[in-house]
Amino acid sequence: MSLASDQAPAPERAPARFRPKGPLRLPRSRLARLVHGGLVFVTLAGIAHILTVLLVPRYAMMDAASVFLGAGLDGRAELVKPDAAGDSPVIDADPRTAIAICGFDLGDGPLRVSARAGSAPLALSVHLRGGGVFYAVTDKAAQRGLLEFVVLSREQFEERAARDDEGDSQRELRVVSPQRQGIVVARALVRQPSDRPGAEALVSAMACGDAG
Amino acid sequence: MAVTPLTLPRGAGAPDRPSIGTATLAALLLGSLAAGIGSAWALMGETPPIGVVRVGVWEAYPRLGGADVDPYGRVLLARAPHLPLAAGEGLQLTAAADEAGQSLTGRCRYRISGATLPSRGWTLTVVNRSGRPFAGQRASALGDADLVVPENGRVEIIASAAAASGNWLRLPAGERVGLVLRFYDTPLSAGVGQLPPSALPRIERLDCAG
Repeated sequence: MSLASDQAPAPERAPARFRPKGPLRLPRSRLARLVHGGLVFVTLAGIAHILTVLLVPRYAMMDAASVFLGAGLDGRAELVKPDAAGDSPVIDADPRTAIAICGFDLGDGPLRVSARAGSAPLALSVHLRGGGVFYAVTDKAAQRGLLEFVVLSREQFEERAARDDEGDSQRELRVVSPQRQGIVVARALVRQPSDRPGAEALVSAMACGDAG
Repeated sequence: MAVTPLTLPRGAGAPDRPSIGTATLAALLLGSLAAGIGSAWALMGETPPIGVVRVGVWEAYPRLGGADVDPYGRVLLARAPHLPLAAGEGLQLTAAADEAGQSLTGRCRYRISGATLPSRGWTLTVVNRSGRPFAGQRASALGDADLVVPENGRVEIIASAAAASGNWLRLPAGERVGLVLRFYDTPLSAGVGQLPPSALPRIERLDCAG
């Protein structure tokens, strides 16, 4: 005896028409169909919106860290200068500041950053690829006129800590970067136009060398 | 004995209901994709749609200078080379309108007056509608060291296209402008949301040409 012996034979499937099961199957009334379609539209648009917002920073190459990644690779910070028309390559740069930048890739090893405090207020900050500042220090923290820290990855930090002798970790400030690549920015305030050469010399003197 | 089937074959037992045609489905997908990307693009302006802190006429986006930037702020930073002031470095505030809520323009004359935050120095810069400082001959910025400040410490600056006596900030004639106020090494950069409007200068429109 067949279990489905009383059942009618299945109708032929329409060949050219998409007949989805489940939520894509439209309800009967016009209003319900409209609401159903609207919900699907809003859900898909929301997913596209969120993906766009999340993916643009990941693949954009115009953020400051990507643009200036190659700056100061010789160990000296590179001064950011305006172009011939007077526009700074940094879109919102304060015209009353002097800025110099070092790019880094921790794949090449930890980075030692050092800068001398001067007469102009000075700050150093570390910016990441895709935006975000994870460390900043001003010259108020300078010791004997020197601002110095080491940028390293989590692995490099642990490796360094493992081979530290007694007291080594207290002799240097270690900053663990959440990303391999980024830039270190030295920014000095130009109080008067006549102070610009001094402020530019101050930021350009930032050294970014191999921390070994 | 008749036994009830466990499952109904496709199409049996239910009336034929309308289903989505391939063209409709494609239009729905493409339309929602366009709406999603378009709405994201529209929100990627010169300022992030979230994370703003307002103090009087001034606006700040303190999270742009931190490690925990919101996704829209991250998009803003990713689309062009910005170097926002880090949280411990200073505080940046922008104004696009005066006290009456009217857009700032080089057609009008303004009085910028009041208190400033404790800091090691501050600057006031005129920017275009995109938030970019004017370049070349039209560049215009003041620093605290440029100003004559009375004993009570309250600043008073006249911003206008035509030269004015006292502390004068030049505006480009006839253009829509914005003002950017930056305080360097201020202890208040983390607590900007708690500042009363009286802690920052007011921007009052005095008169307009034409």
